[in-house]
Amino acid sequence: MIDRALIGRGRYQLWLAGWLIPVGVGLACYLFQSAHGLGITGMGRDVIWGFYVAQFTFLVGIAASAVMVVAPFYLHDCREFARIVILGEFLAVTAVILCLLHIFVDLGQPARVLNVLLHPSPGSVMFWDMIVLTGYLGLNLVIAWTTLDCERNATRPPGWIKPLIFLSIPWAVAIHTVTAFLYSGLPGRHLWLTAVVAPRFLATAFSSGPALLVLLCLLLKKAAGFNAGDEGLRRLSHTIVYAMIANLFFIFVECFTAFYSGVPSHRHDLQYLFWGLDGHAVMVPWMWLSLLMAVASIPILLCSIRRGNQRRLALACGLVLISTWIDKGLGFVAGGLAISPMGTVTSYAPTVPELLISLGIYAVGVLLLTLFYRIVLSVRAETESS
Amino acid sequence: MKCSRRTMLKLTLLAAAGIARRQPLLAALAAVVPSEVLKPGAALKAGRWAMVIDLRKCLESKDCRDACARACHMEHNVPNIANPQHEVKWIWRERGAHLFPEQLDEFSGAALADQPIPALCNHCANPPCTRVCPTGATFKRTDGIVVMDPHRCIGCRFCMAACPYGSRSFNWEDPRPSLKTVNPEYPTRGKGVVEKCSFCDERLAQGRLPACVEACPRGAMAFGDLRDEQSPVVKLLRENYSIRRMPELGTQPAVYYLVSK
Amino acid sequence: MNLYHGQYILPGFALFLVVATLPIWLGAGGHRSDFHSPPNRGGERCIEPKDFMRVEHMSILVRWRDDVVREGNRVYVATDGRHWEKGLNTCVACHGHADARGKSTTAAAACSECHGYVDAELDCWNCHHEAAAGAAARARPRVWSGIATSATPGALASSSRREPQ
Repeated sequence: MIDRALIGRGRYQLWLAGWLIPVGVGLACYLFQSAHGLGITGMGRDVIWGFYVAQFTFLVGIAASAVMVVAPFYLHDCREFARIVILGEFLAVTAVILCLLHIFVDLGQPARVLNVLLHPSPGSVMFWDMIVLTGYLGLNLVIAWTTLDCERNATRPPGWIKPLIFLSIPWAVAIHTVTAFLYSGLPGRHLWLTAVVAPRFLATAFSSGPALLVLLCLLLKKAAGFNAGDEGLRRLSHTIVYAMIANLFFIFVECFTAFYSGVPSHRHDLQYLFWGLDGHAVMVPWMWLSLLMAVASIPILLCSIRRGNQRRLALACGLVLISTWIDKGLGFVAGGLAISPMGTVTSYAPTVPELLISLGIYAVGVLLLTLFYRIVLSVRAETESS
Repeated sequence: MKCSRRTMLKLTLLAAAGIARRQPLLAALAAVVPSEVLKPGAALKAGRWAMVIDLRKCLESKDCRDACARACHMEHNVPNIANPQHEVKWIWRERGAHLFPEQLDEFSGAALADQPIPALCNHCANPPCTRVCPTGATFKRTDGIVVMDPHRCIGCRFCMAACPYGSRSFNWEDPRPSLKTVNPEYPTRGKGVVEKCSFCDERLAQGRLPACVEACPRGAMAFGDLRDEQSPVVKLLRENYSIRRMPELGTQPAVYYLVSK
Repeated sequence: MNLYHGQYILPGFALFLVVATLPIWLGAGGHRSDFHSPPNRGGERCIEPKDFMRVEHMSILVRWRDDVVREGNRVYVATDGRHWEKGLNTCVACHGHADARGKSTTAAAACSECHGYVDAELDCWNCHHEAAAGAAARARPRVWSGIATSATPGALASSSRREPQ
């Protein structure tokens, strides 16, 4: 089936070739980073994790969100998702690959990455994160490929696929919970040392992932005439809106505990993010923008569900996606590290090479998704015409 | 290849033992002959190494010109990097307000908050950094020292996120260009690995005290075994009130500070 | 055999074969039979005999690395009973030396002679010192000065153990 990925009209070839350019630029920047060290990024002794790890965190959420189509379809037989489950699974595969790439470029000694497997440390959450992410990648790849292959051959999927699918459902929750545990078990980082990190991660994941999936479906409709099914998109909108409501509720309870208790360690990080601290206020406009977009997305989503208006749906999904990206991809990591263990405030901003490397990785993701979805669409077209 | 059940059980147990003891899987599967452990008589040994910094002596006068830090950094080839966000430091003097934020009030300025106080890795008994390391590159030795193995470190900086004291430094760039003088007895590190105070375990093996302890012109730093009632640290701790950094986190640091008369 | 796009595939495959075997083409004509031990200015015999070291030196170094850094076990008892401090400096003390400018070219260059040829890249010298600085250190073998304890000499905890001849 892979051969179908590269067959297409000139516009398609141009799309593929065009996205190779940011990949090349990102690769060149990465070689520069390999030669000079991670000091070329905006990270430092205080903000030890930055843009790369933040993108990793956001992308794990996208990967985990596949469960929001897989579970209803396979466990509860929601036929509305029949046409989009495979898209969600391939989105998960791509997202996990991008996660692993982001971690790889963040390592100081990437050639030694196999040390994690050669010298396993079961007490380390990062060890488990590597295991569950790789396992999730394999699971989804096998599931998606096998189901697609069977669809092409018009046969029933083999029996062994069912237990794998059932396994992938709690596994999806596990990957994002383990990623949350990277943060929420660290004694000195008070923005993160709260139990609500894992639930909030899941809430943002289950709103941003389906939002991206909806946007991709609408894009495919425009670009390739693919009909995802209006009912399926409507059901997804339900998921997005309730997950976003849950996310906002979690933000509210976080703020209550922080500000009502008045404990400095609880308060300071949120204060830095939303009001600035010690003259450092670079995150403030971003965080308020994220909050406002999140709040605004809810009535627009509810409205689009009622009226079936897909333009409003696209707008709302865009708001959700950008809002959660700012929240996780900018605010969470840098916000947790901005106040150093010494109590000093350090603002973080990614450098240009850092952004270009991350952009190169995202470009790899666009290419992968294009290739995967091309295969899906061509198989669909073939089976539907016959 | 036919594998008998007996062989399978043996291999499984060996592999499990390998994982449990954090040894390389490959070595665990091979026939392991333990190397003889030779401790020459000169080496210093302890149940739990600890340091007591007597701030009453340390703060007597501030003209020591950071003798502790200079001695440590020279001994261990710690680079002197201009960019403060890229700096590498094993021991340094930090404002008391930054080290003991929970002790601050409007009256603590002269005694504590504004004073430059040595800070270093606390070699905790319950270290969060060793818990999170995915490769076992940093781990706790039986004598209490939290060891950093720069050969195995993959540079993920999870230990730096976990350390609540900010004791660890990462090599954001190649340290060698920033090294003016080089001590040939001790290696440097390369870029991309984490480093920190090692309680001078190489000096302890030769029967010498840590470099900072020896270098302090006021003799403000005591170093010894917490399990030995005759050691200078135990004597100081039994006779004086001491504080440690952020004890409420449960890390059980091994660096104590004596603050008042 | 009917090969679609054969006019591209067959020449392309031939080109691939040529490129993939380039190392053989480029390396052809060269033949090393003159490997010799790294120069030893220290005057002291190596920790183990030459033939043993030729095969086992990397196993010894890797084992020493873990012994010293992770176990705190710093003394190596050679098969002839001499005690050595485990560390690259022990090797460099003899196999590396400082020239008149104080800069060493010997240790890293000595290792690279063979390691470069077989393309087994060494990154030891990123962190470890290539030369024992100063004339005094040049001749000093890193024999351990502590009190020896009884032990089985020459035991190496590596999976490829061979008794030195």
